[in-house]
Amino acid sequence: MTSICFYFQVHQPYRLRPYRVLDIGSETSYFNDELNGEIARKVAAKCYLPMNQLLLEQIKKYPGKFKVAFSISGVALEQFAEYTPEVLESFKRLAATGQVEFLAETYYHSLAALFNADEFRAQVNQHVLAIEKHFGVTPTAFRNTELIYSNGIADLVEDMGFRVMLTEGADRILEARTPNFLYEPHNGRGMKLLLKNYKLSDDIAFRFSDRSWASWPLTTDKFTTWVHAIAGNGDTVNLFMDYETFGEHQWEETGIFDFMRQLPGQLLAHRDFEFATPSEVATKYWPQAKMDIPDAISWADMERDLSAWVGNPMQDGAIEWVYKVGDLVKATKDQSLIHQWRKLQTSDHFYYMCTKFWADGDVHKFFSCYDTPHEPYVYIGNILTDLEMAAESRLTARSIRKTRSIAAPAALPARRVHIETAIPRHLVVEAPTRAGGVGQPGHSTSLHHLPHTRNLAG
Amino acid sequence: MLGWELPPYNSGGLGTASLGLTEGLAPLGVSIRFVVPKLHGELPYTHMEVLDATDYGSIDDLRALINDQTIDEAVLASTLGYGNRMSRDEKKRLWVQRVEEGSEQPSPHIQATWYATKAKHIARENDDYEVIHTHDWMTYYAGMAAQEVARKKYKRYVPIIAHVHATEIDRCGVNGDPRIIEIEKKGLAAADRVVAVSQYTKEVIHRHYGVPREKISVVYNGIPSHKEPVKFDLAKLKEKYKIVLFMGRITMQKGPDYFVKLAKAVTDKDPNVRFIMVGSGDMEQKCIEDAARAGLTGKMLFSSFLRGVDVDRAYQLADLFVMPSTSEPFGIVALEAIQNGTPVIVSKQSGVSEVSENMIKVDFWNIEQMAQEVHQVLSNPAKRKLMRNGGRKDLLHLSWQDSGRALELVYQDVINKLRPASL
Repeated sequence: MTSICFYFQVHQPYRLRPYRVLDIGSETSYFNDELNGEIARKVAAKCYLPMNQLLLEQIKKYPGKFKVAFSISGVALEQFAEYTPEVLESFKRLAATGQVEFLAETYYHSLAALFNADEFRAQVNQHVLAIEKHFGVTPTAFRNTELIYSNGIADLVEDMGFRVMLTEGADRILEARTPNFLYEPHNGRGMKLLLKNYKLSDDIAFRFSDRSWASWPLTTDKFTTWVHAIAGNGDTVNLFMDYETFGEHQWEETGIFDFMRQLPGQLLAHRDFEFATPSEVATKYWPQAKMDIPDAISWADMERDLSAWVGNPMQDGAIEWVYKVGDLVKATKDQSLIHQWRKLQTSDHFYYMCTKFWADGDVHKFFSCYDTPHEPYVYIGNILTDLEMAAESRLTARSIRKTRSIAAPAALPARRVHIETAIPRHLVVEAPTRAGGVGQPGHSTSLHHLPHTRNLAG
Repeated sequence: MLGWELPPYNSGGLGTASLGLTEGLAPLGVSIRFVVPKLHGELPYTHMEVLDATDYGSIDDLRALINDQTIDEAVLASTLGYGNRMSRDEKKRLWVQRVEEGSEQPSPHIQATWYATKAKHIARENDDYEVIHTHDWMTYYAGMAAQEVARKKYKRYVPIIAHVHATEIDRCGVNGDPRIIEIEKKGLAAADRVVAVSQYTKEVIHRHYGVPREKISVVYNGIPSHKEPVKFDLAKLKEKYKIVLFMGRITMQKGPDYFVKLAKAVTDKDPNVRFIMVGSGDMEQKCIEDAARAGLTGKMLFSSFLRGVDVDRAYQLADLFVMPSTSEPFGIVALEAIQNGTPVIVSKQSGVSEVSENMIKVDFWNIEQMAQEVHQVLSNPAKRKLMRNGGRKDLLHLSWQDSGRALELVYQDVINKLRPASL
């Protein structure tokens, strides 16, 4: 038996407003609410709503047999709730079928795994809570932003209690091996790895409408033959792709919806094939080998590395600054400010700053809402200047209040007391390890309801 | 008066200066007929008559010029991208069409010659004039054409004043467009008197264009005296950081790369200083990348061109204004900064450095000294106050009325003697 494992990534960033130098200190929103709403509505109409409907029909047509998995970033969920509640409702209908698995990721679709482990854990927990809240299920499988993976990240994820992790089946890690088996992390203690079959995945996601491709047009028959050819040579065919492939990257006119409508039936026609979600695949098969991946891989660009988000001086400068202001922002305990800061961590902001192949009008340009990679860098610089000042002024205001209410020793600056007590509290409260934690009844208490203020009072 | 840009498009620049000069001259009883290549809408000026060059001559003037065999080469050069897929005539037709639509810039020679054709018609159809005043290279041929008309129509020699606001040498150094330099040389040679906006520019004209010093008069630019800037509340950012500002086109002439180097040198010692670069231009992306590469993320902020009141807001935001131009004929921006109460550092390679002792003057390339001066000014409120107050006093003698009076003397001199005046 060979499993076919579909995982779709659903994500929309909070795109930045063209935030000007003279906006600093003016309390102007950091995010382009108008554009974000417009894009959410556009993609909902072209992709999310029709494709969710299509999947729902197929799930009902093949009860217990057709299955898919989603990873929906927290910032996408938030924007659905705000701009297109009908999209959120349709995902809930899919969840209710029981044939859909929801994966965990960082709530903010961030690169935190590369820069700050505490921050990473906090965002994953926040995402798990959001999935529980909206869909009533607790994720057991994890996918990191853009399938970024390394030995170190696998350790972090396994420590949090996840049983399965998804990543790219990049050539340089597979060498002669196939992505169609389960693998294990280098220092794994039982966590399973699912590797994307990038050949078959990208046939749908990137090449479907490419008329210069020898296999164009891609028919359901043709694709089914390719998948069935794996029979006896693999346990799982992992088809991982952006959900926006359907209707947004590949327009309806290309026939992508018809293709997907026929696919489940045709794939199931072979009795040695079945659909399974990532967590099901992980329990069905034994891992083939351990994967040693010291340097991070991802599913982006030809390089399948981190060069889409980091490496040029603008990206590096901006990311370094974003994470540097973190302690200050978190020390304010102002949930709204912390939320703003985390939305700045979304990987897309740094993707837009990428200068690789910019001149050739490549894929980065297609996905960017800016004319040049320099624009988002300039805006995020102004925004971070404002955020830093906002955080400092909140801390100053708090320390003034505090010196008034309790008689602090005159020699000790009140503000420093705050920061020192704030950091350990943050570690305890916002970053518990997930092992055995999330998923227990009653655990889904919102973070801010936990008793933050006990130490402070004394 | 033959101008090029009106109303002024950007703060500073040729438009601002030529408008300011007319405002200084008009109260002295000088009647001005101001020609612009093309008018966009009604202009609010009552102190002079404004003529639109496109109202004169034929609409086919440009077409006729382009079809002139002598400019064939320029035509082909600018359509080179089409290779052999088009015949020469096809290329020519397409190019003419594009120039007329405004999507293609004709060569400098054609621009200047077209304006001269128009000036000929204007001179014929309007009343007599005593002086022809041209502004920079685009207008030099037009001035010569107007002089020719007067010789024929009135049998009289009307002198030409060539006012130099900037030369191609200032803008591009040795990489200047030789076609423009050629026009400049011809125009300056044909002028009866050259007016430079500073001693600095006078020297550039003398050295690079071979114009004798005796033929060059200096008339400094001014600044609108009635304009007292609105005060803005920018306390939040100012409270936390010391701010150093650059404002101008981000091009080689303005020295933006030296500003980035300065930012690096200053913030390495004092991380609480923020540098802001305001403007747009062909070096904008390079400067942004250079700043990021130098580790200035968070220390150097950028803004595209500002307009209207935002210009004053930016000046007021700054504790110090720096103009590191590599060659600046004048530099009105420095005076605008002073008007907004912001002390300035200017490069020695600028005209504006001649008009006030209350500025700090440093060679644009001397980053070490410039950084020292920045530290001193930022750490010394008393010095800032002194510079602010002193600078404001200097502005009292730098109105466009002052420039107008100086210019009128030049007119008188030229008309009376019709030969170079000693300085």
